[in-house]
Amino acid sequence: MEEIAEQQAFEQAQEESLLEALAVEQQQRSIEKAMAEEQQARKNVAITNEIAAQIEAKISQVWSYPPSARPDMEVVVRIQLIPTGEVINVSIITSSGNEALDRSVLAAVSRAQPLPVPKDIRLFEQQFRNFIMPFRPEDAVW
Amino acid sequence: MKLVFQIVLLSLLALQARAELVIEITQGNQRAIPMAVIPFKWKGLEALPENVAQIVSNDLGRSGYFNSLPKTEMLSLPNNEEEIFYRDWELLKQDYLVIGEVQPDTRNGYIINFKLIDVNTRTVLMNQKLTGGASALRDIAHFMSDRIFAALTGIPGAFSTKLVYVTTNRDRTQFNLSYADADGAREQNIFSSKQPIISPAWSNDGKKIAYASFENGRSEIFIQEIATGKREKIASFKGSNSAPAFSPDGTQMAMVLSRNGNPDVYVMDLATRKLDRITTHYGIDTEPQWMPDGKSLIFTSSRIGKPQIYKVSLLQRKPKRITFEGDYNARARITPDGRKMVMVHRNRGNFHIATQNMKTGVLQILTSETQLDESPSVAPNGSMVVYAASIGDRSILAAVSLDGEVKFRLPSKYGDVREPAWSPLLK
Repeated sequence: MEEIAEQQAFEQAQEESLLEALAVEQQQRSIEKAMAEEQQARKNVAITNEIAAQIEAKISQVWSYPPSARPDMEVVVRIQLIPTGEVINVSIITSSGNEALDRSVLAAVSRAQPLPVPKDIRLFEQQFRNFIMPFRPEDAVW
Repeated sequence: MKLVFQIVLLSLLALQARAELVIEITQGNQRAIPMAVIPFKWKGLEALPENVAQIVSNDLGRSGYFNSLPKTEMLSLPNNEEEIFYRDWELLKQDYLVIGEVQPDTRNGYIINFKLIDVNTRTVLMNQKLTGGASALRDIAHFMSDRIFAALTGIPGAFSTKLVYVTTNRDRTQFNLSYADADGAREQNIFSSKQPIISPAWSNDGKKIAYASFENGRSEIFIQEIATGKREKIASFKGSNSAPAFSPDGTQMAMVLSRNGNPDVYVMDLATRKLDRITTHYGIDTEPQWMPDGKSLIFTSSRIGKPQIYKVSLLQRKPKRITFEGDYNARARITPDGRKMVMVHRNRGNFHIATQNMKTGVLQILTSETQLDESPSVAPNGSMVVYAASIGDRSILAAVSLDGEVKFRLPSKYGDVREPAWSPLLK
């Protein structure tokens, strides 16, 4: 009897240690997964920032605002892209109240096409399919 | 513990990634808008008395805010929307097109249809029909330029405005007060004298001109109605009477009188003719101009030896010097929005037209090709400055955009042209 009980206890202990090892392994794997995801997310943020900077530069270059523009004016547009960087829709969410300035923003977006986009289609869908651009002619001195 | 931390961090990043992307644009360009005014179709047998499309093209190109595409660079000459091949205009990097046609109407006049087209969106921004006789074609063209300019720049066009200036023959035995379109066309004399005429100035309703005339042996100030030619002597005090400037509301006139010995700035109530002496300095105070709010004046004074610009509030009467760069700043004019001052500035011995930002004091010299630049006058929309300059031994009129980018000369049939004054916007 004693031997059997001892045997059972041994097996139970072994099973427990096995489960424990399994749990540790699982935990390890989920940490790794989390770290990988985190790394990917970090990478995505970096790519997003990089592409956003490229878009900003490309549009700034072709944006010519009218002489009535003042540094405190703002036009906010929503832009819809397709994965090639072509703009399929640009709409004014907040007008500056200055029609000529509003029009200059629409012209700049259209003229800057195709816009830079990420190669990763998932990131494109998350961030660049649809985004917001406020325009402020802060360097206007005309 | 570490795991929990990482998961929190991860979800933060995920959150951040999921928030909507916002890309701010705060830097742009101040450059001329490229556009093409395409020659209008005309089916009549005789040539049109005026080339309307060319006038519009010149107006816009000279404003400094547009680059008009020369006809020789156009790949096609559409007259209606169906004929526009947008790829051509995109290739030529044109933002806007003006197309149109002229037709004879039954009463010996003309019907002009024109459209302003946005090449980027391929839409019609303006579609208008105008009619008029042969003599009105230039007015119609300038009116079109005004409409197009206003729509695309957000500031009113000033192409339908007028200039007055003083012309003389080579012997200086005949002086005229001349009146012309803002582009120098259709010049005519509204007053002539054997004696000098100086410093013409517009009333703010655009109906009257004030000027100083030496017809009675010394300088006196007159006001003349443009439509009727009716003249009225307004100031003939002892000494010299000069440099009139109507107040923005038209009820007062700033002027320079030397009735008390040396020239000082006065303000006259035009209804009562009552004088109010604004400056009392032994130096020469002259060339007063009203600030747009009518509450203060700027003027040129030699009180420190060399001419500089001063500003004086009509309430406090304490002149404050406002120009500090260089040893000669004179004949200042203020842009209608009050943001900039335009003046004659001496730089390395040469007289040029310069602007000074009223807030920052930053000075920019606008002219360099012409010499002895004098008497600048600002367009009522603040886009251009017209001034007199010397070319060889002649004095001519020239214009420069307020950013100094665009310069051109105005034609005049007379030997010498001086002291241009740009009209207000005319109703």
